[in-house]
Amino acid sequence: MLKSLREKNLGILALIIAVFFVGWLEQVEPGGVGITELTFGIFTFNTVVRIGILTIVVVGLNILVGYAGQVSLGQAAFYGIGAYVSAVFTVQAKALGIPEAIASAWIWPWFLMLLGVLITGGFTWLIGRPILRLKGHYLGMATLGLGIMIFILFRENFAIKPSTVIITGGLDGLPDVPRLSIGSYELWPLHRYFYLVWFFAVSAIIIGRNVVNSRVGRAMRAIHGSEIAAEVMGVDTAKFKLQALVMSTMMASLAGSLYAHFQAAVSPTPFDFVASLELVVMSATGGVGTIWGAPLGVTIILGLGEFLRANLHFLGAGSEVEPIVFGLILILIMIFMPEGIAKQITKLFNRRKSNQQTPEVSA
Amino acid sequence: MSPPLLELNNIGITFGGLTALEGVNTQVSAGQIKAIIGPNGAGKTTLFNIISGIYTPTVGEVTLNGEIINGQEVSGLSPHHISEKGITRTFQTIRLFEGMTVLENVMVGQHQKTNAGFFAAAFRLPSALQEEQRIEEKAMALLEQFDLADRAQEVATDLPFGLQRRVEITRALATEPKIILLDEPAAGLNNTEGHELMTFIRKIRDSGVTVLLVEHDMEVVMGLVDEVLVLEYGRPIADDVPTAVQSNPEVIRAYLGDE
Repeated sequence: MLKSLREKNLGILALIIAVFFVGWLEQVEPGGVGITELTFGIFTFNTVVRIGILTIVVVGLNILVGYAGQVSLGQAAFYGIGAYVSAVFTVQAKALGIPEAIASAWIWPWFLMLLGVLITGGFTWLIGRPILRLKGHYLGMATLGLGIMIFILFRENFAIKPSTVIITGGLDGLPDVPRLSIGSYELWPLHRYFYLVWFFAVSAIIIGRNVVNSRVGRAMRAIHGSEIAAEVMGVDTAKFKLQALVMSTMMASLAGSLYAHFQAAVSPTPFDFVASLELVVMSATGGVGTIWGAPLGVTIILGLGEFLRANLHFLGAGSEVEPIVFGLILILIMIFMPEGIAKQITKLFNRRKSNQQTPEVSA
Repeated sequence: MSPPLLELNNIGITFGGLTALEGVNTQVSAGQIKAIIGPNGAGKTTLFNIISGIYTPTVGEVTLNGEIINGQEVSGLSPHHISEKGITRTFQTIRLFEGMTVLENVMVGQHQKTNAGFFAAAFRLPSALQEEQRIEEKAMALLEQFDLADRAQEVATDLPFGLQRRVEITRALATEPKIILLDEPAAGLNNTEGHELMTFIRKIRDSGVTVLLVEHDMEVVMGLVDEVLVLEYGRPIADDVPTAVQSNPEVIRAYLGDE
């Protein structure tokens, strides 16, 4: 038990070292030799930041789907709530009557990040209980519907009367979301923001890992295994399902705020139904029921997307061929690694280890 | 005589127009092994589902130590509340938690004895870690007591059938119940496993846990139990010591049919 824990900490340590290495390369020579060259042009530094942001969302989703066994097909909407809370209350501060002194304080966007997390958590806490009474496909339908409803709120041109200020910006979204800063230290250029994003991503992985390896995680896995058996063992299944949902949506919201300040703009499209499905695909590719599956799945799906975009020109109309190849690769992954890539790697590793041990035993 | 540990008062339940149970009265005293037997479809598992809080009876109530724990007026008590009050169970079709080791399965049984929440777990607070260690030791002790310690790190659902059943019972015992309900514990076991199970059940009773079990096969339980409740078509037809039940003409008719 202690040994396996040390191995897991080794993974975290390796990730932290990798983060500092990639950040340092960009820092010493922006645009010079960096992650792009190291990965043969597949990952730009920009993509690595996006991987960090989405890792936070998918860690939460993995806990909800992989551990607690509750499907969410609307996770992108919660990601969107964070992004929109951060964008609306900074960009539209004046129109909303927020005093200049508050809106221009460096701490204001950080407060909004927290506010977004609390709003999202509070909202899902309120609606979670009735929704989580549904099981399987029905829960999928309900979360899908919820996601679409929230998406429509982003897309609509809400205006405060009598003025005609548009709150969400409708389909065009909101431009000019400010960068984050700590005091007068701006978390920009990108390498500074990169460290911030990956600080949250690594924290999400550590917290996620701690939660699943605890009493709480055990209760969730029990619910996944058999809800009724978990109940008679004394597990308040409704409570733990709700906690998993609230935790996952709060993580999504946090990531959404990070996304808004990264893009310096928000628009509805990244939070639509397709985006929710993409999150599920990332989660499944990496492996539901593993925390490490989250960064792996996000990296593979984003990397695959970038790679296909860059390399399918010769087939002509790239934009149409790309999704077909993408879908094909996903099908192959699911056929040959139904449990996801993280578990496949663990299996290979274990097999090699036991192969090495066998001769010693027989000798 | 001390009051019964568990009492069923005039239990009845209907699903749609179908009456599954009607007028079931019985008592279980502390330290007993009691069996509920009856032909297929007699309502044995339904009765277990009522006692463990999965169903609420249409009429009647279940009391534990004189306190009503299930019935129309207390509806809202979930199975986890009932588990907390000291009644736990196993299932006819084994429901071990998939992908979890034997040890982890048993540790889930200790859920109510711990209280680390999300926050304590996320930041690995010392209180949570101590608690984990405590219940891991407790779970290991239980596994040792029931000869499962060498299987602790194996995935529970990968074990042979007979062992899975024992793990399920051990998991239920980890909730530290007053009463354990065993739903057809001998189903699917071969002769040797069946005999091992009988010894196992006596061991449970000797450790101070009252046992209520459902059995399909009358012969299996006769040498083991103190009392037998016989159900037929949802109605009790006998409730007595095994020897009396065996010679009860009603019971003989139910099992062998009219001549």
